[in-house]
Amino acid sequence: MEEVNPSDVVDGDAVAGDQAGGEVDSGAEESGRSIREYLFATEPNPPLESNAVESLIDLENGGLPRVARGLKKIARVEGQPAVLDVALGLLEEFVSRSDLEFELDGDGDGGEMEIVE
Amino acid sequence: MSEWWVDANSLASLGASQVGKTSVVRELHAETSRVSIWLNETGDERVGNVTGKRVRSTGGLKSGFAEDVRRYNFLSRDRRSDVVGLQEWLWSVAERADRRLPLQVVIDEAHRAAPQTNADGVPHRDAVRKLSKEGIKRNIKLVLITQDPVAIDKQALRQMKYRLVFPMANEQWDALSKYGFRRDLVEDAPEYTGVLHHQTGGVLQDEVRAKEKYA
Repeated sequence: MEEVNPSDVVDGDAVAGDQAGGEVDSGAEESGRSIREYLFATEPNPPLESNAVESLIDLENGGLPRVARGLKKIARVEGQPAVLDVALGLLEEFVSRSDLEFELDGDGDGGEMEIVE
Repeated sequence: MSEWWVDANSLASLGASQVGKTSVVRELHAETSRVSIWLNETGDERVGNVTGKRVRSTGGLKSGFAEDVRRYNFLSRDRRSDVVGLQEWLWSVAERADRRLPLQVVIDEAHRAAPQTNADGVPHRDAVRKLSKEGIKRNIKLVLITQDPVAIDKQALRQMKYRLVFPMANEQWDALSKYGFRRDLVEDAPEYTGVLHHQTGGVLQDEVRAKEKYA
């Protein structure tokens, strides 16, 4: 009799409904994963197939994304290390907030008419 | 690999403290092809070096199952309550899988989860009894560990197809004399080595010892 896998016997609804009550702690030392492995994990990641730069000369989607895709193919890595995601994400957040503050602190042209007498 | 290691028949690992009975089960839990759930305790009573994803409820088990995790260290704050929920959930799992998912449940200090008592309606004891009597029909192997085989529920103990026996105190040997354990073989065995008996009394393997890394 063919065996089944654990995932075959739970459905998505059951899992989602119990996530809040089912504390799951992967337990680094007993599951064998070190802090280093967590920081440099590259999964889950979007597959290379999802990048829309496979065709020749795609001026809209090419450029740096194509370069990145090529480097991933060379390195045979589909994702980037988790710690890099965290660092870049924080930098992006900082930059976007800085830009927003710059706009808010600008000359406020929008909305106010200069009264000229 | 020996049948007793892989089949769905239940196993009891019996013996005094620090004689190797838990180490063998640690190895079984780590290396079995079954999906194995160790119903552990928290705090000072917790058994250490148990491999697997740490969970604290059946909700955690469900999440792990969705990811095809096959080893669990279920850190229960109330094993008497959790063993009931676990047995019920595993029944539904076996039903869904049509008995095609080999499962294993390990309960250490089993005399606490299934105490010997003549009282009616003891849910945790009854859950362990169900696992011992009916688990095999659902492809669920129950593994009980106890250093007090006198205090464990006798109905559950009688259902154990395999009995891995390690050195015990005299009064325990006397109390278990009707089980036909080969005390001479057990006491002559090397340190940290047990003797595997069948439910019918025969000796299946006269030296069972865990690998060093599970000690």
